[in-house]
Amino acid sequence: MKLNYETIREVNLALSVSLASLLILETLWTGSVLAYINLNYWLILWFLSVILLLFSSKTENFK
Amino acid sequence: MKRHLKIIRLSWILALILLMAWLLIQAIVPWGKITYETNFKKPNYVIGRFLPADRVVLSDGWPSLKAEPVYFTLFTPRLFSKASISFDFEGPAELIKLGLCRDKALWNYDLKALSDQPLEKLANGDLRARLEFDLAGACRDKSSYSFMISAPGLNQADKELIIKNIKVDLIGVTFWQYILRFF
Repeated sequence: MKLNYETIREVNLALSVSLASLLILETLWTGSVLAYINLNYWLILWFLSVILLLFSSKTENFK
Repeated sequence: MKRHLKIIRLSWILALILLMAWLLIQAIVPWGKITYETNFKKPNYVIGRFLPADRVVLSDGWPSLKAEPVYFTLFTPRLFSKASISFDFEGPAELIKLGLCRDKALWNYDLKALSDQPLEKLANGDLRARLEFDLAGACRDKSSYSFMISAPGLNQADKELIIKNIKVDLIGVTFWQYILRFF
C-alpha cells in the first residue's frame, strides 16, 4: 500500500480524533486515561503525522 | 472513498471505541474488585512514589528507606470500601508500621504494625505482610488515598528498609449495587 496524501490524512485524522477523545475523557474523569496511557507519546505521533501531512500536501501540490 | 481508506477508517474507529470502553471499565470497575501492583522498576501512576524523596535512595532499583516516615498515595478513579495490601520488603519487620490517613488536618494515620500480622517468608528471603484497611472515612485528596510507612528507630538501628513490591486489592460495591441505591 502506497503512503500517499490521503492515507497520511486518514492517519492524522485518527490520531487527532483519538487524542481529542482521550483528553476529553481525562478532563471529565481525572486519571482515567493517564493511569494507563502516556499521552506524550500520542502527541509526538500526532506531531509526526502533521509534519508528514504538511510535507506530502506540499509535494502533491507541486505535481 | 477508496477501499483501503475505508478499511483504515473502520479499523481506527473500532480501535478507539474499544480503547475508550476499556478505559471506562477500568475507571468504573463494574465488578467492584481491582488489583494494582508495582515493583518500583518503572513509574506507576496508581501507586505513587515515596515522599519526601530525600528519605529514599535506590538499592538495586528498589526504594530503600533511610529515614522515616515516608508517604505514598494510592490513586483510585472511584471509591472503594476495603483495601488489602500485600507488602514485600527486606528489613526489620518489628519496626515497620503501615498507616492509612484518616484525617489530613490532624495528621491522623491508622497505623498497623507489620509485626502484628502473619509474615510470609518468600523464596528470595524477603518478607511479605498482608494488611487490611477499611477505606470508609479515609481521607482522599485528588482521587487518592494517602498511606504512611513509619519505622521508628530505623536511623538509630543503622538498618535499611527495602520495599520490593506493593500489591493492593481493592473491594467496593459493584456497578449494579451502586445503581440499585437510587431505587
